[in-house]
Amino acid sequence: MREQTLIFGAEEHLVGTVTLPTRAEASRAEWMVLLTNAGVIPRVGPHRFNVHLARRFAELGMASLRFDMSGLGDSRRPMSTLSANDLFVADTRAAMDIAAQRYGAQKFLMLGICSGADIAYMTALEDDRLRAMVLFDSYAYPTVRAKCLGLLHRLRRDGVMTTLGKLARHLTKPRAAQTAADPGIVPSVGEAVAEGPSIYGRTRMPTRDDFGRRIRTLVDRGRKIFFIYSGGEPDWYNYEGEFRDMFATYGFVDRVAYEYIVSSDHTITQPRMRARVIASVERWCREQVFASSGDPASALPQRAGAVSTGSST
Amino acid sequence: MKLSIRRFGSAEREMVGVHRRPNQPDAGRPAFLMCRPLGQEAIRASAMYRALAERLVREGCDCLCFDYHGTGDSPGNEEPQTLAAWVQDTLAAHEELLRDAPSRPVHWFGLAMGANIALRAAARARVAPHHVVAWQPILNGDTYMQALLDAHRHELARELRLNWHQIIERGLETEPQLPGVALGFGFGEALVAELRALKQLPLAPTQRRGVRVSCGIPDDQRAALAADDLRQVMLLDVEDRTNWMSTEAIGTALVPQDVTRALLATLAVTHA
Repeated sequence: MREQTLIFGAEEHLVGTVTLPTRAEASRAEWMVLLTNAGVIPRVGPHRFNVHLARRFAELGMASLRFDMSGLGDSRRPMSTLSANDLFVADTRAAMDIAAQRYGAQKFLMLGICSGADIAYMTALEDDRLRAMVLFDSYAYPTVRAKCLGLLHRLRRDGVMTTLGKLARHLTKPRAAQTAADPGIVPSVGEAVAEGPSIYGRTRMPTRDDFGRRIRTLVDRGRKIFFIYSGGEPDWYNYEGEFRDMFATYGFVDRVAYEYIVSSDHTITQPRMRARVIASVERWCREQVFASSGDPASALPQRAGAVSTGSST
Repeated sequence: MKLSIRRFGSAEREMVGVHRRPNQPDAGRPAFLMCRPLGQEAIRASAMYRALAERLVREGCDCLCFDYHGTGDSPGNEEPQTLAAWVQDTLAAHEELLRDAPSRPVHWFGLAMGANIALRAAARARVAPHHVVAWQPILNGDTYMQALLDAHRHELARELRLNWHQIIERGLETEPQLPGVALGFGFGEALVAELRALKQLPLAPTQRRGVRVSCGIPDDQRAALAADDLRQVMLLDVEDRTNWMSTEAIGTALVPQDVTRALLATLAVTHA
């Protein structure tokens, strides 16, 4: 394994680290893995998860580039009038450009955590080189069942009186004040949501219809997508079939992979959970991304168990 | 501002750093070496380190932010690391800055355990740094480890939206202990032994080298300093009590103003 840290981007403002496998045949692979910031966490990822993931991919013969988006980690903010999301998408495309120029990568798999997942799917809509993505704690749109289970969770955690007190305060609060950061607000499924409760660290997200249609578009283009949801939002994402219930009407649920890892928190604090996520990603790569291709990563070592659609661990 | 990547250190302890320098270098300005704290505190302070570095570059200074071996973006794993090895890493980073301009003064900044590492390294540097700004250094290793374990419980409870006892009852986690994992990072046996032995700041050896030391220590912790130490250092007030072990600190875009002031003040001392 070799690591090289690069400076790239139109204004030489972006910083990223390439991890290359030592196997000569793998170094010619046309695939590269992209890893980036989760929120404002630098490119090493939460608890250095991206570093460990990059090294594991290198062991499996896959190169990766972990990079800081503009204004995050070591990267500078460029002279630009783009919105933050547009800028981050441009950064991701610049990462693919440098990977293509220097390492011959033509196809990309991006693993995005939290806001990194948002940038991954937005980039895929704009750039066909991004063929596969793992979206960890992407957008969630709580179902009626999830709201009921969430209430039950709060009752168990806080007790009846505390929960009722919070509910009373929420109900008596002026509607205009019932905005983001108030976990008592529940947007209805299917309702256009501009702002809502903080779910996986987000208070603003596209409407379920917008997001569902965009994912359907990507799936129709043949993009491989693996949704992983952590147990970090028991108030809002809390049962095994919630993913299917959230997106059943959009026609992609059976064409993507998804998994609910209830024991993991949002930032994958526990090392055994990081190992668990890495194992799932490996399995998905082997069975769904590279299963029918002649790509080098199809040589990923076999392990027991399959990435199922709709598993919970 | 110009960015460049530095890879340095021995083959066994390679490290990566980001070097920032002004477009118009000012030979009269010192360079800065930025020593990170450990584990989750390093992650959470990363935005502050970049902001501080960019501020210093605007003042005409070069600045090297680096990751100790086995941390951050540098090669290696956390578990086998020790404070002693990170002191050596800091000395290697210092030599890397001196390689550019051997006679230029170099100032160091360290937060939390990064401050302790800087103070230890300063006493051993081939060419001593001119000034060390030690911000909220760790005054007692046992207290520090207890704070890590408490923060671990607090963060997991917050992340999983459960009370800690519920996490234990449901078998989602066991009681943390050191050596072991705290806040998602491994602390090996050798490192924990060093932390247990940490009872005071190594100020005297540093000062004997003629290094100026500025120390940001909250009022209520100063009693832990020896009387001699209080006379030897320039004590600075800590107005912003950011808890860098806490998620609430993450993304702290605004650098605590007292930290910026402390670093800029070292420039005035250099010119004087």
